[in-house]
Amino acid sequence: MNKKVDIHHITRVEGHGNIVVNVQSGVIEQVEWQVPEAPRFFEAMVRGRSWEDLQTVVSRICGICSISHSLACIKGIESAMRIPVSEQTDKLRLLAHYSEQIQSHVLHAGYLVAPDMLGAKSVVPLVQTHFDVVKTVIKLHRMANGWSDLLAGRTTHPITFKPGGFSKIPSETELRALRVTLADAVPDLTSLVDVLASLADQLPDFERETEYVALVQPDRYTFYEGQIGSTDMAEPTSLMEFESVVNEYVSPQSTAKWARWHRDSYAVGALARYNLNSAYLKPLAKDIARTFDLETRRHNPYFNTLAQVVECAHIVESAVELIDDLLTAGLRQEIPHVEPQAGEGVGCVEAPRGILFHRYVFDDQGRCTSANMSIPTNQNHGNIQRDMEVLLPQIVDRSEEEIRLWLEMLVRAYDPCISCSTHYLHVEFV
Amino acid sequence: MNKPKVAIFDFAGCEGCQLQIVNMEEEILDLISIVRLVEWREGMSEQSEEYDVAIIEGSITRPQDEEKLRQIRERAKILVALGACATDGGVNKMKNRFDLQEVKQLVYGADSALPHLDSAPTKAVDEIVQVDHKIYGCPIDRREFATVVRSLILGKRPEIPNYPVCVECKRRENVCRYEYQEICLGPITRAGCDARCPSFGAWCFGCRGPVDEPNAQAARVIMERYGKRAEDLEDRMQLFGHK
Amino acid sequence: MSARKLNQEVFRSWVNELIARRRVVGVQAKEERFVFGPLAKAEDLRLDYDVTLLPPKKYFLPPRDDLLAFTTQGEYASRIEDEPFILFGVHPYDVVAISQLDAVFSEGHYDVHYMTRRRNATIVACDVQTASAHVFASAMNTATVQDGFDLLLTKIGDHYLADARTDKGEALLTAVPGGSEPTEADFAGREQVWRRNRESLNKHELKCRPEELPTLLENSYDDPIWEERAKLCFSCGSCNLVCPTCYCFDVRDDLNWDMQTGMRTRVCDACLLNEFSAVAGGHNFRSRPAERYRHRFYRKGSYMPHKFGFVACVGCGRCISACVAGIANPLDIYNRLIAKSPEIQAPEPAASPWAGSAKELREGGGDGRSLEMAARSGGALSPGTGLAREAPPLPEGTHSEGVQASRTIAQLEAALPQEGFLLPGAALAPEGVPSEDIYVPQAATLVQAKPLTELETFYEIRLDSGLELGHEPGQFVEISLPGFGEAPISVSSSPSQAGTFQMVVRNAGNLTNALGQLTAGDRIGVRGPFGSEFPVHDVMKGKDILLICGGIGLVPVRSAINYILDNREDYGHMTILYGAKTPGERIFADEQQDWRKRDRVTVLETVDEPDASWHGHVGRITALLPLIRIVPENTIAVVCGPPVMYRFVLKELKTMGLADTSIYLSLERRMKCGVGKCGHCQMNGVYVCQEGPVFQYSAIREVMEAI
Repeated sequence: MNKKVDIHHITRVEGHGNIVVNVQSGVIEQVEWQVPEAPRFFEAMVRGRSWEDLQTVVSRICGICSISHSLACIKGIESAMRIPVSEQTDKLRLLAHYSEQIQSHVLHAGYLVAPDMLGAKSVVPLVQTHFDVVKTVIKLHRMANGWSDLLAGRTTHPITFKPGGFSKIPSETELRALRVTLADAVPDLTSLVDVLASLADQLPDFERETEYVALVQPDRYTFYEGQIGSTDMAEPTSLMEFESVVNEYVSPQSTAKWARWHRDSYAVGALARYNLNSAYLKPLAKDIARTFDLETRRHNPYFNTLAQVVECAHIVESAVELIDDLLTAGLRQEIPHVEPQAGEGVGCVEAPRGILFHRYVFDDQGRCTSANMSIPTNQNHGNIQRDMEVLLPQIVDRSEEEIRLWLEMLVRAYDPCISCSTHYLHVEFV
Repeated sequence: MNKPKVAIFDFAGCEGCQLQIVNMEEEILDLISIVRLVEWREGMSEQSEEYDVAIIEGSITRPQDEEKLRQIRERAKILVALGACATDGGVNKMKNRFDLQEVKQLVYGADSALPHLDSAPTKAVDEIVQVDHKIYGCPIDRREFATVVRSLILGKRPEIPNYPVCVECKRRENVCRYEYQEICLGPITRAGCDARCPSFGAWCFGCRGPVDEPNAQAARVIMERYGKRAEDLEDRMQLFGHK
Repeated sequence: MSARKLNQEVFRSWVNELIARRRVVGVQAKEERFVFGPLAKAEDLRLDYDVTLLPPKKYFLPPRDDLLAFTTQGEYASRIEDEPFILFGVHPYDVVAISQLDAVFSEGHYDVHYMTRRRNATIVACDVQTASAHVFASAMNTATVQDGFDLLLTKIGDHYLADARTDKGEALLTAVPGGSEPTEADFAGREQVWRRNRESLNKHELKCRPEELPTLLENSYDDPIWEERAKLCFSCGSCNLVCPTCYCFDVRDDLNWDMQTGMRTRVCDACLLNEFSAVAGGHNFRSRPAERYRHRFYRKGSYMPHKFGFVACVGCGRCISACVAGIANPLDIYNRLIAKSPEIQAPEPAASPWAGSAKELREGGGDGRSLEMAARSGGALSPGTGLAREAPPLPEGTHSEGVQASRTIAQLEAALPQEGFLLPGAALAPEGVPSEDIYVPQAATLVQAKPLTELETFYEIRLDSGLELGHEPGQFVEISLPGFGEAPISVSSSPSQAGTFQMVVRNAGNLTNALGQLTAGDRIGVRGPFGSEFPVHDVMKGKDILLICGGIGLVPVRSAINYILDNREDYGHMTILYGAKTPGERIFADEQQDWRKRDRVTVLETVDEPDASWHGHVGRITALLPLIRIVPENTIAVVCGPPVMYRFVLKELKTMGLADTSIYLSLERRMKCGVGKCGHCQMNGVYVCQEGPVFQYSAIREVMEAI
C-alpha cells in the first residue's frame, strides 16, 4: 500500500506551506511540514531606519497581524528609549489590539476553517448552502474591521500608533457607538457558537499534550502585556529573555528553523493561552468553553479554532468594560513627544496566532542598528511537525483523500501566518 | 452574463492586500456576482490554469517566481498588479539597498549558504512582465479595488489618480502635516487613498508611489523651510521604493 | 429689517434654538485650526476663529457632488440636494467669495445643483474677531461686507449685534425672543470694529489697487517669475482647493455592483494639477508647471475680472498657509510684478478701504472717505463691491455675457414665494428660477455606426424626442455613455440634413473606445449643441471659402462644407485642402470625390507618410497652399486640425495676404461640461466651450494659449 500526499501550497492559510507524505507499503517514509514562503529579511532591512518609521515597516511583516506587529514594535521602541506611556494610551492600544484578535479569529474560524467543517472547499459555496452562517461571519468580521478602523485608522497596517501615544484618538461619541456595536455582536457570536458546537464532533479526535507558551499576567487573560508563561513552568520568564525561550534551531530533518524550550517543540496561540489563562475568562467566554467542552479537549490542536471563538467572547466582554473605563475617565488629547535616545528594548504581545517578540537596538539618533523578531508561526512549526508524526500512524490506513484533509486541517487549525515567518526558508520538494 | 474568470496569485508580501478583498465583507458577494473566482489560494481550495484576469500580489524575489509569473502572464488576458509590493516592490525593495550576501548572513547566520535560501534583488511585477493595470497602495484601498474591478468588467480603463495626495488631503480638510514640522510625502505621492494617513494624524509614507512627474527636487529644497534635512526626506522616500 | 443686541446667554440660547429647528453648520475647532461643520450645540461654535481650513463653499460645491443617477439603459435622473440650512459664522471675505460663485453658477447656463443649495442657505455672516496669520482682506476690500448675506453678527464687547438684512435673516433673528434694541452706541461700536478690521486684516500688502491687477498682468505674461517660482511647485492643487473663489470641477461616472446603475459625480478639480488641460488624445494644453502656475494668478487677477467684473481673490490667505512650497501668495507675485511696472502706482499710504456698499453709503454709514474712494476706484473691479457693477470694457476679441446675464441671489430670492423660516425645504423650482438640469443628457439612438478608418467610426444619430438637434456648423455636443462619462464631439453633418445628425469619433479614450463598440440601435446621451459656429449665415456669404483641415479636423468642417453645398448659390468658390498622416487615415475619401464633382469646388489632398497605394501629394498641409490661388479680400478661411498645425498654416495664410479677420479657427480643448463652468477648456480667459470652438483669428490673436 503506497500513499503519496504532496500538498503543494496548502490553501486557506496565510502564506505558503507544503505537506509532503510518503508511505511505502504501509511504512511511513516521510511526513513533513514545509514552508516555501519567499524570505523577506525584515531584520536586515530595518537597520538604519528611524524610530519614527520603524512601525510602518515592520507592520508589513504580516497583513493579518499587523496591529500586533505594530504594537510589539512600538513597545520595543518605548522600552529601548524609556518612553513613558499614559494609562489612556495603554487602554486604547489594548482596545485596538482586541479588534485585531476578533478580525483574525473570525477570519480564521469563519472563512478558512468553517468550509472544512461544512464540507466545502471555500466560503463561496457556503453562500448557497449556509447563507445565514456566512452572513453572521461577515457581520462579525465587518464589526471587527470597523473597530480597527476607528482605533488604528485602518484594518490592516495601523496608522495611529506612535511611540509614546496616538496620532489620533477616537472621540467619546465614537467610543460610545462602538460600545453599542459590541453589545450588538453578542447574539451573532452566540449563533456562530451554536453552529460550531453542532459541528465540533466533526473535528478529528486527536490528542497530543505538548508545552504551551503564552503571555501571562496575574489575575487576567492577557494579550497585551505580562511575562512569558509555560505549562511546563511554575514561574514566568522575563520578556527580555525571550531568545532563551524560543531557542531557534535548525532541524536535522528540515531546513526550516524551529523553536523549542523544555521539550522538542511547543505550541503558541489561542489554545496555549486558554491552557495557561482560562481561569480568567469572562463569564460568557467560560460558558462557550463549556459548550465546546474545551477543557477535556485542551490538548487537541484542532480545537485551537474553537479556543479562538471562546476568546472572541472574552474580548467582546472585556472591550465593553475597557470602553466604560475610558469613558468614565474621559478622553484627553495627548500629543506624544519623544526625544530619541540610544538603547535596547523588547516588545511583546499576543498576536492572534500566538506570542510575538520584537527586539531592537537604537543608536543615539534613534536609528535602528539591529533587530530580532520571533514570530508565533515559527514557534508552532516544530509542533505541527511533531503532531503530524504522531497523527499519521493513527490514520495511515485511511484513504489518501482523508489523510490529506486531516493533515491540511491540522495545519489550518494552527492558523499559521506564514508571511510572518521572516526567518523561514525556501525548500525544494520531492 | 458570461462572467470573466479571475485568479489571484501571491508572491513575496504580507498578504494584506488580499485581506482587503476579504474585508470587502458583503461586497464579496457582489464581486462574485460579476466575476468567477477560479483560484485564490488564501481563500479557497480550488485551483485553475484558465483565467481571463490574473491579479498579482507581492513582489518578486526569486528566479523561480519570475518563471511562475511569466507563465501567469501568458495565460492571462489582463494582468493586474495588486498593492505596493507588486506595483513598486514595496517595503521589500529596501533589501536591495544592502549587500545580499550580508543580508542573508545577518538573518540566517551560518545557514545562509544553503542553496534554498537563495534570494535575488526584489523586483516589482512590471520589471518582469507587462502589467495592464496597477492598484497602488500598502495596503490597497478596497473601494479603489472595487472600482477597478467594475471598470474592467465594463471595459473601461480604470481612472487612477495622477495627482498628489494633497488633493484628497485638502478635500478632507486636514491640517497639513508640514504645519507640525513633519516630513510628509503627500506632495509627491499618488493620490487614491483619500489621504488616509494624514486624516488619522500621520504623515504620508508614500505607499502609493510617486505621481508620474513628481517634483522630488522641490521636495528636497523645501526641507530647509521646515528645519529638516534632505536626507531625512530621502530616508522616508525609500520605505516604499520611491527613488 | 431689524437689529438686536444679544448678550452671551441670549446668543447661546438663540443658536441652540436654531439648531433645534434646522440644520446648522458653523465654525468649530479642529486640532489647532477651524472648520465649518455640522453644529451640535452653541458651545461648539467658535466665532472667535481666525480662518477655516476650507472655505464654506464646500456646502454649495461639495468636494464630491452627485449630479445624476443613471442606468446603463440610458436613463438619467438629476440629483438635487434640497434641504434648507443655516451657514453660521461666515467671515466677510468668504461672503464676497460666495457672491462671486453665485455669479459663476447662475450666469449663462444656470447650475441648478449649486443654486438650489445656495437658495437653501441662510447665511449668517460674522465680522472677524481674530486676524489669521496670512489674511489680507484689507488689501482686497473684503474686510467688511454689506451684502451677500442674510444676517450679520458683530461682536462688540460682551455682546453680539445681530443685524438682519433679508427676510430670511429677519426670520432667523425673530425666531427666538430675547435681546434688546441696539442703541446708537452699539452701531458706533460696530463702525469701530469695521474700521479696525479694514485696517488690521492686512498681514500682506498689495502695492496697487486691486482693480489695477488686470492692467498689471497685461505685460507680465512672459515674466521670468513664473518659471522661477514654479520650480518649487508640486502641482498639488492645494492653492486651488482651499480657495473660496476657485470652482473648477471634473466629472466622473461610477457604476454600482449591479453593473446597471450608477452615479455621475463632480469632484473639485484644480487647474494646477498636471492633467487638468489634457485631452483624450493625450495632448496636454498646459503641460508645464509654470504655465499652470501662471494661469492661477491670471485667472484671479485678469480673466475673472474681465469676464465677471471682479478680482477673484478675497484676501483670505488660505492659499498661503496651504502651499508647502511657499509660492502661492498672490500678493507676493503681484508686488514683484508691480515693482517692475512703473505705470502701476502704489496706493496712497494708509488708504482706507473704499469699497463700502451702496447701502452703507446711502445711509451715511462707513467712514467719510468711502464715497470718494468708491468713485475713484471706478467701482468695478474690487471684490468687495459685489456683483451688480458694470463689467469693464473687454479686451478686443473676447466676448462675454458679463455680469448682466447673471442672476444674483437677491434677484432669485425676489422670485421665490415668501418662505417662512420654519417651513420645510424650499420649493425646487419656484417660478422664475430655472429648474432644468444642464447636466442631464437627452436620449438618442444610433441610426448608423460604421468604421471609417482603423481608428475612426462614423455615427448617425437620432434624438429620441424626435426633435432636431438644432445645431449650426462648427458646434459640438457632449456625448454621454453611462458608466463612461461624457466627451465633447463635433457635429459633422449639415444642419440642412433633417431628422438625424452625424459625427465621427476617434478611439482615443475610455468613452470613445466604448462608443466604438456600439452598433445601430444602441442608445447614447446627448447634451448640446454647444459653442460657436462657422459664420455661414453672414461673414462667409458671398465669399470664396478656403477650408484647411488636418486629420479629423475635417469632421466639424464637413458640417460647413455640406451646408455650403446645400446652399451653393450663397457662396463663392470653395477650396478644400485636406492633409492626413497616412492614406489609411484619410476620412470621407468617397465623399471628397462627390465634393470634387460639384460646381466651383476644388479639393486637394496630401499625406505625410505615403504608401504604395498613394499617388497624390506628399508632405505637410502647408505644401498645398502654394498650389492654390485666392483673392484675399474676398476669401474666408477656416482652419481645423491637430494643435501643431495652426501656427504653420496661419503663417502661410498671412503671406498669402489674408487678413486675420478673415480667418476662422476651430480649436480643440478639454470641454468637460460644455456650459462654461468646469474650467477645463479655458485658453487664458477664454472658455472654448462657450466662446469657441470656432474663433475669428483676430479675436484670439492675443490669447497666448490659443495657438
